[in-house]
Amino acid sequence: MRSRERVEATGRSLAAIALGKSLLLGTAAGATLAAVTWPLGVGRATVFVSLMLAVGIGWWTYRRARGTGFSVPNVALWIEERLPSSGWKLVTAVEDGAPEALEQSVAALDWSSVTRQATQKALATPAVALLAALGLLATSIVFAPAVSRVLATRLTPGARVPTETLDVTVEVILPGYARRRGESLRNPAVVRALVGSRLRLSTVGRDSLRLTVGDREVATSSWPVGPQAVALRLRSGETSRLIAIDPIPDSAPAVQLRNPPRDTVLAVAGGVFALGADVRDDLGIARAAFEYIVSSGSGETFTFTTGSIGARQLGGAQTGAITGTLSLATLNLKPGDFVHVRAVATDLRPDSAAARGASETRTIRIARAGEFDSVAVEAAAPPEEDKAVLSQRMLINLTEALVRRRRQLARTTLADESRTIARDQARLRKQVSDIVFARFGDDPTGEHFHGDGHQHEGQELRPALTPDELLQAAENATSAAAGKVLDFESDETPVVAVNRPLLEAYNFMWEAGRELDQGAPEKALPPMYRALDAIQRARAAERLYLRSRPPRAVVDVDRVRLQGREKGTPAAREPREASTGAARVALARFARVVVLARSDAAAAADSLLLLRIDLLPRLSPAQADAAASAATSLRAGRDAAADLAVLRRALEGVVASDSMSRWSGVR
Amino acid sequence: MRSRADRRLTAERALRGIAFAAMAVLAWRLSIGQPSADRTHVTSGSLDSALVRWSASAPKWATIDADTIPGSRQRDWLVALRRTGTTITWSASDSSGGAVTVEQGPLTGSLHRVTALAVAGHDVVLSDDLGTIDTARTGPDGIASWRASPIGQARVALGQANAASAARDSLIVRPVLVIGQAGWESRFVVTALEEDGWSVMARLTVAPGALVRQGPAVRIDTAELSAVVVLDSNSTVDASELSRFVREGGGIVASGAGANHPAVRALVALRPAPFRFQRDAAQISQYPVSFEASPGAIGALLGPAPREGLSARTFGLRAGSVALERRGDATVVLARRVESGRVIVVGYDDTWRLRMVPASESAPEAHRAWWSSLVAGAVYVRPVPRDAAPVDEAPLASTISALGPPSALGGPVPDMPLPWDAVLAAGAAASLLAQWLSRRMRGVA
Amino acid sequence: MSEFVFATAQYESGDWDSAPLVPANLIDSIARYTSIPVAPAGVVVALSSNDVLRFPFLFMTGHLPVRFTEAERASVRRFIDRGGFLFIDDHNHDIDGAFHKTVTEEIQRSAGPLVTVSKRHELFSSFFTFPDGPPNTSHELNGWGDNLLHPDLKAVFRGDRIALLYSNKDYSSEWSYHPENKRFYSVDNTRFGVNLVVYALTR
Repeated sequence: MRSRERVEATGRSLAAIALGKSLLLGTAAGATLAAVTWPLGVGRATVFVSLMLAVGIGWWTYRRARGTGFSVPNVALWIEERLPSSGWKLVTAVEDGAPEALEQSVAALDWSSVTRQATQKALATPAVALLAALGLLATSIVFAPAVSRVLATRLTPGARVPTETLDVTVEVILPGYARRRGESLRNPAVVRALVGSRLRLSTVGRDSLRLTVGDREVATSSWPVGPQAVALRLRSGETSRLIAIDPIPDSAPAVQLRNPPRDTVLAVAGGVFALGADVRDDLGIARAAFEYIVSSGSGETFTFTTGSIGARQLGGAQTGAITGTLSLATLNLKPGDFVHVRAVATDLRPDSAAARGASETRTIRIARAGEFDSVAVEAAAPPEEDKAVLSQRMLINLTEALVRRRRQLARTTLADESRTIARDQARLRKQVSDIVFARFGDDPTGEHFHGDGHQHEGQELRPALTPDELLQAAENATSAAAGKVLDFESDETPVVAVNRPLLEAYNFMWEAGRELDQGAPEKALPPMYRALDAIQRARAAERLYLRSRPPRAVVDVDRVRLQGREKGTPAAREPREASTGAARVALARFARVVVLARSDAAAAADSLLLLRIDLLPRLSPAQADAAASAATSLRAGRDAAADLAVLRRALEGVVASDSMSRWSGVR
Repeated sequence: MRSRADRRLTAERALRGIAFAAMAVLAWRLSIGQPSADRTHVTSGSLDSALVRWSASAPKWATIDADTIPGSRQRDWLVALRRTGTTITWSASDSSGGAVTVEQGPLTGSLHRVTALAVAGHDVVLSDDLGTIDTARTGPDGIASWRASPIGQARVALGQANAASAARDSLIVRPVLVIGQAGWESRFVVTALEEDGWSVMARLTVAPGALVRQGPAVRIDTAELSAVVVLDSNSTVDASELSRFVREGGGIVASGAGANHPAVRALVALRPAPFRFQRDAAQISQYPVSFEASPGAIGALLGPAPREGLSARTFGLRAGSVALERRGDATVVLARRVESGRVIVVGYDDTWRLRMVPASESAPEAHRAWWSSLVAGAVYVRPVPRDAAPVDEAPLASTISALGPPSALGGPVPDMPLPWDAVLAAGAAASLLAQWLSRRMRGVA
Repeated sequence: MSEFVFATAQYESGDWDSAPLVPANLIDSIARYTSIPVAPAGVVVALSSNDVLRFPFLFMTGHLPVRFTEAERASVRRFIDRGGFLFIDDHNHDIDGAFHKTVTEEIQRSAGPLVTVSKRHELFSSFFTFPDGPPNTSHELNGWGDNLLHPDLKAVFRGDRIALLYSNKDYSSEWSYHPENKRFYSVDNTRFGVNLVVYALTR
């Protein structure tokens, strides 16, 4: 090949290299532009502009690369510049009419290496640039959705522009007894701390920190955590931050009584009970012990003694057990007494009143005399006449005192005092008569009963029965009625078994009262003693009734209907407040938070925290967490829709059904 | 044999010529304006941009393949287009349609009632301006209804269509008067209504001459009261006053022994005594509604249907009355219109047991909601229209009424016309570029 | 329409049945003064069972210390939350005795804090009017000569309604007599019981 032709070939190669370079660079430029603008949305305009840029860059690159052109002399010159061994003969050699000798001398020249170098130099960088641009484009396409979201939030006016919020560090200092380290939080939305902790608030910056709670401003940088949830607004200069405090109450210890496992009835007041209890607390137990109450007595008179067994200091352990023994012999128990036993523990809180936990109570009862008698099915209620015992004793005391002072008193004074006691005795006798004659189910005014032979109005009155006759008549009636069904509904009321001692007491009281009325207290004393004795015997006769269950007093409603003397005048009723009103107010506030979130996210976050505090008792922990994370997301400019939806479901119970009621919504 | 160079020159000239010709045609087309395409075809996704295009120059015939039913804005736009002369046909693959309505609850802050109608057994999603509220499955009638409070518009996704609705009026509700005897039933009914937000006046008889009142003594009149609840059969109620109240629109709920009150019986013609014997024709015609006693199922109070455990009076149903709840074949809760007003007769005795006895923790809430719905069903309210955003309650129906019925599926789909302008421009540019490249390669120009 | 049934609560830890005549007495008074349908006899219902929910008025009394089991506590809580009315009366005539201490502790644990009932509360005018608040019992005044007066009743409120009423005025002793004897009292001392029942039935 002649050198001219070789140079022409080289010229064509160079042209191709230039074209290649311009294509690579142009494409790289276009790809780069597309990569940058892809997240903003691919439209025709973007494609067009990228294409134009590519073409433009390519054109410009080609112009530069071409230089003056790829004509043969230019190419030869180019080769000579790079190939010193050409000896500057090539340009002349490729001219028309070049001498053959020159042609021969340049025929041996080999500039393929020059061409190769030129190719590499020209194409390497653009190729790399193109690969990089394509990589960038690929990345851009993959991450376009996220990037566009970020850009949109950043660039949309007003919505997520973070307002100037205060940078605050909150240090939680737990109370001493908790024996735990606190924590340090940076810009929290919600701080959860044990009741009794202290929060130390600090900020960077020169301005001092001001604290506002509700509408009170407090000049302090530490805040005690109380039992109520509050919202603290911290201000420093122009910036502020709202923090919600969630108090975690320290729960009382949980106490489980293991021994005795069941309530017990004992026939004999003796023996030793082993006591055992397990205690658990979230922070630490201070002290645990067993407590007992002994109730002694019956009817209206009871005495109570309390005591403590097996007290143990547990020194802050989280679990513990206590044991003890309860020896009944030391308690002086009598038949009919009760012992209530339970275990009590306090935790480490300083105010021990709130810190007590108690277990269930076990009851140990000493059986009454005759309780396990096979005939007695169930003990009757403590008889009412026991109140008469004390009073009768009191009256005896008063009478004895009067008798002792008889010598010093004037006659009239003695008579007056005596009559006072007589009045009390009469009242007591009336109470006993209520019991005796009420059990007849009959009219007790006249203190008579069916079967004693009295007659109603219209007939001549018989003289009142003597006490002995009364007693005799009662006995007759009792024996006659044995075995009859108890029935209070008919007019002819059968006689229930009479408590004879009670009737005797009644009679003796009558005698005593008569003597006292006449001013002879010393003569009244013997019947009073006998009355007391009779009452004691009445107490001993536990079973007052033929059957062990007292007959239910059934009221004849129709007979007494509207027989009352007085008329009632009921006051007007006040309306209740709507219980569901609070839920609706909460929902309305929530709706306002949602609307506000579109325009001012920080204010919406603050409102949401305040709403959360008000609703905290009603929300489950998951819902409260959702509200807290929604507030955090709003503050950070993130999407809070999922958390807000969880909170919304907590506020209103949506009830769905799959059919329509036939009448405008009646379910 | 022409040389390569000559062929190349010819090719370049040819390319130049093509370019100029294309540009000329393009210029001519642009100068005469776009001739309107005869037929255009769009899908729902591109409907918005197509509408904008058509507003500049409308085609003669537009076909819309609606995989989503057009929204109200698009619908109105199409109607306007149609009026300028374009024929619009549309087709939808799902012609089941659906609708949603929102009804305001009777009390401020009551939950609204959102009812959606769709294909039976399908899932529908209720959402509002915040997001999804609930998903439910329609029943055998195709109905799903919710008691909820949508914020803004309530939107329901009904398969292909999205319906939106909002409560369009608020209601003026007056107090409810409860008349009865002092007892658990009256006490718990008043409590339940008050807890749910109703304003309650009461007249409870404790003794003759001793009434527990709540609220001032008012006439039974629609200007003062919305509804009267009658719970016993002995209270003094002026029958004529009650009758006028109902006829003018008021509501009565008579429950338990109240169903036996003479004033209520006069309105609904309930037969006073249960009769188990043969009813002759005269009795049937004279007493259109009759009742019998039905004991409660033992243990049902603790089960899933607690009302079955209440003892009740059951009624026979006659024309003009609607059975709201049944026990077996007989009606336990009956509703009837009396001129403008409504009467609901509840046969259950001691409905307070529904609040106290069932084991479920939400028994008081259920009792409250049930009583509230009974009173809401009878109550006289005056609706006050309020401004609401435009709604799209029944998209398919609205589309059909706006654009006519959809064309049959599977009709001929017109071919997409070529975008001639773009083709010409591209061709011109390509030719020019090619011929220039060729010249460049030659080293010329 | 169901009638009012007077229910007495039976609890595990003490003498719940210490006042068997009180139900009959109050039933008699209700029949005398009102036209409320009332069952002629009271019932006894175990406090730990769910049967308490069938009787929204419950009466509880005793002398001995009161310790609720977990079941009883839960039952009281549920009963009150649903709208029931529990009347607890201390049958001891003392101040700060074992019943009072233990039952107030149990009430705080089961139902909530006890608040003094104001003398002008509608409880005292719900049927009869008691302008000075809760009427004093005869034991307090002069029966035993010790003049132990308990001036106020305490209650646990739900909203503004009394849900649990606690009295240590020993009305159980005051009302423990057969209703037949009522005519002999110049002033019927069970009228306050009527107020309690009418309050429960109407508020």
